[in-house]
Amino acid sequence: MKIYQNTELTLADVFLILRGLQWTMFVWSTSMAGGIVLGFVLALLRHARIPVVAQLVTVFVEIFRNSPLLVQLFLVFYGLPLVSPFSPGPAEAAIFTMTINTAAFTVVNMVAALDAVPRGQWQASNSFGLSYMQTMRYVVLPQAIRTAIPPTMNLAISQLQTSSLISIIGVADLTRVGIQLYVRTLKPFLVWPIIGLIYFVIAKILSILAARIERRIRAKVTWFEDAA
Amino acid sequence: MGINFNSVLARSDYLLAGLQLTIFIAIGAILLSFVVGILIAICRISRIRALRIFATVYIDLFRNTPFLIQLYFIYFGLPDIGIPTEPISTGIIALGLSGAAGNAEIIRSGIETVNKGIVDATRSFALSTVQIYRFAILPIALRIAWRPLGNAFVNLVLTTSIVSTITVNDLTGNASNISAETFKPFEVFLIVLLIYCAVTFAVSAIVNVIYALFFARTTERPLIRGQA
Amino acid sequence: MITLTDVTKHYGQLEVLKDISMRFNDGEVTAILGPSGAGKSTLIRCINCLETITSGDIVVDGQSVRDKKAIAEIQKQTSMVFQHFNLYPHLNALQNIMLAPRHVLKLSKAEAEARAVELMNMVGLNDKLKRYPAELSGGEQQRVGICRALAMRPRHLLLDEVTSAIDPEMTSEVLRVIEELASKGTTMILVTHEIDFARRIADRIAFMERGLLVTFEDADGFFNHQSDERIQRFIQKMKH
Repeated sequence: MKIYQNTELTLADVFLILRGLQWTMFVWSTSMAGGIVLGFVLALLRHARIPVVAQLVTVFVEIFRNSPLLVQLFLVFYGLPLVSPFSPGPAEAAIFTMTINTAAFTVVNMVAALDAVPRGQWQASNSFGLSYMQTMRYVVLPQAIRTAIPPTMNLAISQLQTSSLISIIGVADLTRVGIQLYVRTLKPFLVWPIIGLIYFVIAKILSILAARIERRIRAKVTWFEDAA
Repeated sequence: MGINFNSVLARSDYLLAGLQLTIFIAIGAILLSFVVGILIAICRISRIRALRIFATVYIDLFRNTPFLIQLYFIYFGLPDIGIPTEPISTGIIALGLSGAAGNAEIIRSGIETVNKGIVDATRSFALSTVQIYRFAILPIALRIAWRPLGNAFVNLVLTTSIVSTITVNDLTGNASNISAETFKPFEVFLIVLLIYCAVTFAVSAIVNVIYALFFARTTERPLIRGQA
Repeated sequence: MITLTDVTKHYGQLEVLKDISMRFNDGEVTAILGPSGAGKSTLIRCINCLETITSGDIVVDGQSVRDKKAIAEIQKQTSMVFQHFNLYPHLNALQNIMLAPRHVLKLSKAEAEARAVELMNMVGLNDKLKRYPAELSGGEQQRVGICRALAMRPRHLLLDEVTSAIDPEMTSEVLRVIEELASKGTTMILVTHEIDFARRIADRIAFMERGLLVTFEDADGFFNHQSDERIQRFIQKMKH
């Protein structure tokens, strides 16, 4: 008996791939946005050296930076429903986990950027009578955010690659579509290069964008220095 | 509901076996990525155009596509051209080749900081190109590259978890098995998360010890009078 | 013996050496003088095969630098001391000196070490054998640099402005070592700005300007019977 199997890629598969791409971009962009905001807030908490809170942030950051995203995904997707009232679906679990993961890395970038602002500027601001909040808002943050942009762009590019892991908990992302197509066609040398190429092109576009932004920031900073 | 570690701890031997395999894979992958990384870095700055192009394409491809896709490509692709694949060795090779791309960039920027005069001095004594690299360029470049390389090694350790997707029973793989068996996913993955943290801290510590042993003496340090 | 015949060297459009012909005899000390950018360093780098010449020929003890297979042999016979020392930061003084003898001349570790210790004694650094470059002063580093060059037992020693990157109060310790080598009859070609020093030790003086060899004569004639007014002015200026 011959089992019918469609081993060719067809036009319909283009739509399948596009659908997968949509999921990848959706999870990636939401979790990047959420992670950056969360990380930003946590970094400020840590920088303010509020007792207990600052230490908790540090522990949180170290745990999530030093464990595999895959295990984090399993913990949230399989673990959470059994010990809490939340039972996230694959996409929710993916967005939640990647948001936290991104936040942990953002804290590190942001704290480094805050520390890069010379201490003299805090002292100068204090001498003018500016409060901690005012100094942070008008003096330190504008500089720190500029410093933190390039590493954050790099993080965004690497998180796009890492997001392929969400396919393992069942999100129908680009990689998952790749697996479906591979299982159907059994053509590894056709399917994986196509899927890989799509990631490659997006990553390339992002790095060109990152380089352009970095150049613009640098131009602005030099302009300041020249004027000073 | 309720968190209970008993049934998971009862299978700690199984987790330990997984940890052993993870460490084995990590060591293999780190060594491979280090050696291949050096070779690719040397190709990248070679005077031979073909080698330069090869290295550039290699680095670009591996760095801009997800590791999961690379792994699937190798694991499912090789049997298609008549090379049977075995999960563990495939995992080590894929991790090593992928990590090498990042390491190559780190090592290359290390090499570029090596003082041109030192290369001249070595050349002037009739040392061959291989000897110049071995005795002068690489020891100096690796000192500068060592800390970023250490971060890359930690990252590689975390990435080993992904080889569980091609049926390797490493720490993550065995964790999934225990989770299915005991139906305690939260407890299992939480413990595994912490084990990974411990492993990465150990790797960082080893990296620091190696730095202290081999590289610390050559950095600027105050003169201790009266000591030969 | 080193013979240069019509040596020309271009960096793209820039001509740094123009039709230079000269001969360095064994046992002589030659000082190459001239304003910055005259091509003095380039000249000795060409002799050491660190740079390739555009046309003409340089023959070191019968072997041409144009012959790719001879380069290693020429480099063994001509050792160089650099302006910025260029010591290996990851190796201590002894290891710096032993590296090339061990891996190029294939000496055993013991032989190479004996050579290195002897040289370090000669330059007065016997108490600093295991120091790393970062732990040595400029003058000490340059003395190690000289030892490193001498450890190859070269027939010709090339010195490229060896004192210009050292604090003035430390130049004398380096110059003393070179003077001692000169008195032992070592063949040396030195590019220098220390005009008094050149007068003291050089047998012959070459004066270069903008890539041209202006004059090449005995030291006595150069300093005491100089007819060229420009060179006289240069000598006067460099004295201070």
